[in-house]
Amino acid sequence: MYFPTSSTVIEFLILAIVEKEDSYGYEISQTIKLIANIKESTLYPILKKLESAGYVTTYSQEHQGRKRKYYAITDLGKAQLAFLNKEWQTYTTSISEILKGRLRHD
Amino acid sequence: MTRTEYLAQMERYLKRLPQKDYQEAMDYFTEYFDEAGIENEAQVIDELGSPKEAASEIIASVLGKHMDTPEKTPKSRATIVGLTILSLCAAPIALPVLLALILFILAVLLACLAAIIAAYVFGLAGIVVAGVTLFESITLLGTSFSAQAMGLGAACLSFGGGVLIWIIATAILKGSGRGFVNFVRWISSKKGDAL
Repeated sequence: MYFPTSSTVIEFLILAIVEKEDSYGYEISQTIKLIANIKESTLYPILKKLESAGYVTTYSQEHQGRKRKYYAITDLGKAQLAFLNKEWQTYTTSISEILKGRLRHD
Repeated sequence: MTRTEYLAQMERYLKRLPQKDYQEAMDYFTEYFDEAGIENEAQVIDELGSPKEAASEIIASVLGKHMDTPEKTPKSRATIVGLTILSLCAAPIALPVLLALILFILAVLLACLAAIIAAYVFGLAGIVVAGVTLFESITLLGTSFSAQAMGLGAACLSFGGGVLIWIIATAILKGSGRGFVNFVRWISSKKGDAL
């Protein structure tokens, strides 16, 4: 991807991913990597941050004999996701309006 | 490099972190390797970058987490100081530059400390002078009203000045500690930039 992805957008995406279904580090990371050129060492702190902010909780579950740490969204996380969704709509709408030449400063 | 070597090197950088942070980070990366599977091991290592780089980012994020904790106890302060030094050591900077940087920071710290101690002593002197002048002015009671008034005024002035210097010095001390930690965070965030 040519455009850089800010950590705010990554937070937004992670919340959206775990809102649909609880997920684990590797799966989240692979999905994020579809759009962002991001290192695991950058993603890990973001996951930690979401956890300490109370937007996600974690639990361990056995999977094929090893432990997997799952991330699940909290009510606080859902509220944050709704907020980010709204912001995202405004942002992308404005961008496409500018691209089409319908929106300009005057 | 194999996965075992990679994790072992990472562990070396991270093991001085608080136990919980260390364990969580190691668990996360071990799980990541597990999920990726042996066939993708080389690719994962390639993506992660050097163990030092990865560790440096983790340490910086742990430091950030501890800095943002609102309630500061002496223990959490000690943790922050420890983490600051740790993140400096894991920063992606060449060793000679790092050494020079550490010495420079030490020199600046010492200079600041000396200035602050001087300020405190100066403030203390002001308060002592205030006490002495006050005593002097009381002994002048009755002999000369104007001399007594001047003595009282001088006492108030040096007491006020002394206290003011103390307050300012304390504020500077607090501010510079925070500034120092932020400076180190800034250094460790300069990933791989040629310095």
